Amino acid sequence: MEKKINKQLSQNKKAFEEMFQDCDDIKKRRMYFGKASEVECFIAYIEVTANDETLMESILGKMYERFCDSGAEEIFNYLKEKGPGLREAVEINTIEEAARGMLTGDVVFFVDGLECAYKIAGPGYPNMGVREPTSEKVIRGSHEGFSDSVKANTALIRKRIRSSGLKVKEIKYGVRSDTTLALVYEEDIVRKDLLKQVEDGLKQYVIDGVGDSGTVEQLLEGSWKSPFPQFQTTERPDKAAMAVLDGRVVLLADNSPIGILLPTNYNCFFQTADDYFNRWEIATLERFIRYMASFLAVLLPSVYLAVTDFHTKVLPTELILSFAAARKGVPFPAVIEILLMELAFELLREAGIRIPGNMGNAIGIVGGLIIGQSAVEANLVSPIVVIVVALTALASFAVPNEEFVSAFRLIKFGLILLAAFLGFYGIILGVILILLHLASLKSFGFPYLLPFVGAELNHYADERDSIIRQPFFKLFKRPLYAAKEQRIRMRRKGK
Amino acid sequence: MFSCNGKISARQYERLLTLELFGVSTLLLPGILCKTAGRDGLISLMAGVALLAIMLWLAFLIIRRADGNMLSYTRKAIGKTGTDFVLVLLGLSTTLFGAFALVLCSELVQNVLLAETDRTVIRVCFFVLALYGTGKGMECRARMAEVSFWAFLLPFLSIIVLASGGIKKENFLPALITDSKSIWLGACEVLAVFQIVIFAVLALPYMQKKEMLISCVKKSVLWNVVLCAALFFIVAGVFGIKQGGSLPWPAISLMTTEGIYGGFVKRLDIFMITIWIFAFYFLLSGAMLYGTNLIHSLLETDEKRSVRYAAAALIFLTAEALQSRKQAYEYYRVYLLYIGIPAFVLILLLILIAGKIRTRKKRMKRGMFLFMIFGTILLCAGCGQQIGLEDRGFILGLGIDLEGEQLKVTYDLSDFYKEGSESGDEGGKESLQAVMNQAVELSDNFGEITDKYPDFNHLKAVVIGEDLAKNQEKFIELLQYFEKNEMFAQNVKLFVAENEAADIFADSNCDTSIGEYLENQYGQSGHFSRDFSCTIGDLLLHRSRYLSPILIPIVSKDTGNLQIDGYAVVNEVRMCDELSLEEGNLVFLGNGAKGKTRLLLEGDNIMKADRVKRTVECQNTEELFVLVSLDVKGRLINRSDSEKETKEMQKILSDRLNQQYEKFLSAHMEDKLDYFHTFEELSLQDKLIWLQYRENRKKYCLDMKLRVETNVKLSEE
Repeated sequence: MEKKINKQLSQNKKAFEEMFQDCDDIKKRRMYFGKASEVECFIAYIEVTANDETLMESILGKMYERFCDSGAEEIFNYLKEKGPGLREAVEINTIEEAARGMLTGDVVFFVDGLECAYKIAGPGYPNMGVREPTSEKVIRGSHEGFSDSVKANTALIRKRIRSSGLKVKEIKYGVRSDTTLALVYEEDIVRKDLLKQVEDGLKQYVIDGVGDSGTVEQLLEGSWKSPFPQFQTTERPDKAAMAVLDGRVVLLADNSPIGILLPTNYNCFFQTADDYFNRWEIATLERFIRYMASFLAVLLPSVYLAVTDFHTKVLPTELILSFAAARKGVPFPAVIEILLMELAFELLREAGIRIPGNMGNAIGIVGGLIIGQSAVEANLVSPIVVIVVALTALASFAVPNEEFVSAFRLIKFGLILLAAFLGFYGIILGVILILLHLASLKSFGFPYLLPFVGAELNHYADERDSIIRQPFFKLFKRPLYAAKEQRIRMRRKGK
Repeated sequence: MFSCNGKISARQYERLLTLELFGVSTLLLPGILCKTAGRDGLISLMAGVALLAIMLWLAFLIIRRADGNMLSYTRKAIGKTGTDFVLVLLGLSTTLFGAFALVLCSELVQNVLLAETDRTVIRVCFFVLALYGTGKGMECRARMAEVSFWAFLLPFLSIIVLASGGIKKENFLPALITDSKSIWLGACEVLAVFQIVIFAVLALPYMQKKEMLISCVKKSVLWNVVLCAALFFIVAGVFGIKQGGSLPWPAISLMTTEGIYGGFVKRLDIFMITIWIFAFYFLLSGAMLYGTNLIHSLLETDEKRSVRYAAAALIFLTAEALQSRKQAYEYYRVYLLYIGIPAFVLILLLILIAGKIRTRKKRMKRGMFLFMIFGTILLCAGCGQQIGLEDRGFILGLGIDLEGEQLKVTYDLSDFYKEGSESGDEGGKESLQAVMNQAVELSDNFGEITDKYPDFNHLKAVVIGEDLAKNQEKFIELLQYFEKNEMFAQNVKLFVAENEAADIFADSNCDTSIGEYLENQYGQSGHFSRDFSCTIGDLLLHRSRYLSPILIPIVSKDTGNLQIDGYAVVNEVRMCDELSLEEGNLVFLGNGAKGKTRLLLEGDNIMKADRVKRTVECQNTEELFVLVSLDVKGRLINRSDSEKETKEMQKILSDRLNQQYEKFLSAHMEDKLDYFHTFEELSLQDKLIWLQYRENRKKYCLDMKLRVETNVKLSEE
């Protein structure tokens, strides 16, 4: 039961001070309005979200100036009839509401004698602002990326879709963190059942706090055992806007520069924003390369093992003899050699991320070169294995989604072990197992392998944007995610 | 929302059924058709499909009437006991299909991929995976089939197209000569293989649009029939009817004949086997799924998991009992032809006539259980089967001599571990010798004389000693060993040593290994064209068809240098004569050797024949006067008579060649051999000749009076 705002300011002040006892970052100030300073007021705000200068420039400052020569009666009448009079102020009726308002970064303003208070928008919490995305860089297209503020992020999407149909539904998540989540969707395009499923999913858990959209993502996941991400993440507002136009829902969380696009499928992870800004031939070539890269990232080390340890007949004699000569003096079996190098690479990757600043990049390059060369010179590994591991790593970087590639990194180790035990047969068994898993995986009820399965449900329209990105005029239909009556996205004028 | 109702679309089912049928039909049918119906295998295939169509027509009639619920329709038509009998019968067939898939897959994997691994390990791995897949349900299987369909079929079709270039029409022509009994037998085998299509009846409850099932079945059968027909043509055309029928996996052998341009991948069979493993996976998991449903309906129980395990266990035990592929197929064939199909057809008729009047804890436990099974299998499999590169001895050349009754084998190794060598290119060469009683010891004996595992996958050349080449029994034994051992590629070049093969591998002036040197001799030597090569595959083809003689180059050593001296004439897998290089070239030209043929003519003229058009005709059937006409388009590359006109030169060359052929024929008249392979050509033209002499080729050679006429046309340089 929330506590109503009392007419007596002292009561409200007491309640507020009790609530925020020992919170030195919260500033509580008494002020007086009117000719003889007869109207007592109380304002509260978080120290960093406002300062004297911003307060004076805000509606508070303007009210202060306006009521300088007014009497108490006049002030009350004005506030009762018109409120503070500006759009940035919102009336609130309970102490808890006032507290929540203040914690979002606004200034709360109580007046003695009034049964309500006002929430006045301030500059808000400090954040990083709009920056260029770090993991989804493009040559052609916008260079704007999401920031830490959910408000700024929704605004970035609205900047791209200036339609009244674009809905932003805010949900408070986390009983203590009270984090703002925003569901962004296009009202008439989104499937209502999908939206309901997302909302129901969010209601499944009560959590104390949410640090990032990643926490919400994991709570919404259907299959927790799968290494494959069942959501697509993006740092790019243009990609999020395109997803909204496809009938997907974008989930944004405050304090997170990563938006979640749902539902998703296997093919989505190979699409980049500039695929749609470049010519279709180039986009197709790039997608083909990404698909090839994904196969290499998973299969190359295991195929190398299978070929060298089991099926030497596959390769030409010169090549296999050169492989054999390269292994001269290496004390470990090929599987240990590969695992050693893969682990060394994973170490470098992890260290590269954690080491601050530009040193991280340097460690990656220098470490790779030095460790690779030294390992070869010390006869710990053969040069061919270094090439195989380097190619695998290179291939993994070509896939444009980090979470998705992580799944491949994990599976790669399983396939290496299978290949070490059963050669190419082991790899085939592994591939069947992966395919089985992918075929059973769903993202919000949609098969993960769309559009390679069930394409006929949307008259094969989704296939036009898969490995081959057909010319833009042929992509006139929205994907299966969109509401059935809203599947046409483009038509020629007059038709 | 996207429905998760366990239903599948028509496209998904069409692809699933196609893949379920694909494994057994494409892997076995071409060989079976070669064996039973011979050259008229296609007729058998069509007849078998016609029988299948009749059976399917009956099934479709019931499906249409059943209105999507076969079980209740059958119960209404023939009562509960009758229905139970049908369920048991279908269950038996399903178990047999599953077991057959398991046996075939494990044997295929062991033969082609993992020769050293225990078959049970291969079988258990595959079985556990299929069991796991069955638990995922029909939707999952259908999605897998939908995704993988073109990914597998496109490379397969490409290989078929590539391999079709090697078809020799004389291998399957003349046709329409097989007796009706053999054709009928072939048709029955086709029917037995295509019986897997009864899965369609069991898949009916899963169809989103039940009315589409019939068209899906038609399309799937059509796909497989077309693929089988194409494979039969190619297998028969490339390997010949007899060898096609004797090869354990003709389709896989076909894959070994093709490589990828650029030479990065030498053998495609390793990769192409994936298609069949996937197909067997679909068949096995299908058998498990449908078997589960059948037991479920029979026992009318709600328990799903234990029923699934029971169905799977039945399949596994049946597979264990069946043991080998041959035995499994025999049981499969006998059961289907004498019990399964007749009973099924009778039941269909009877029905037609009668119709007229889990918790998370448990899941965790299951996961742990599966993980433990996999772990144990992998640990068992990992004990010693993998052989690292450093533990392999790459044998590049093989010399085999006959020493009394024993075989003396010389292994030519590339010793890249030789001190000081840093790469394969700088590797030295080494040869080892062993004496053995039988050819099958060829691999084992190597392990005894060296600590390395013999790897014949990169064998370049086999040199056979003259004595061995002349001993038919031992030569055939060796050939059989090559044929059965997957490591010996069919494109390994064959040579006959002038004396002993071991001498060839003794110290020589070659920089590379002898095997590589000999392989490279083709095309590099001035008078020794790549098209004149003889491979293990050629010799196998010769043996299976008892064709006209083939020529194997004779290699000799002169002061440390290897050279090709002439050709050994091998007839009925026995060296019976020798030809000089010039004579050999005449034979190759007379056979219309493809590519560029160099002919050293009398005088100093060397003619390069760029194109040869050969026609064979029988001028008098009764007396068997055979004329081989050769239209040779070529050019002189070492013209000694430079003053003469081209026309004049053409005439001179034609006359010279004619004289040479006349001389050759008179010199080798006593051999009574069909050097110019005229029998195959004439058989295509006149079926009577084929029927008259097919069992007695010697008589043909005795009766035949051969003449060769050449007409040379020179192109301007």
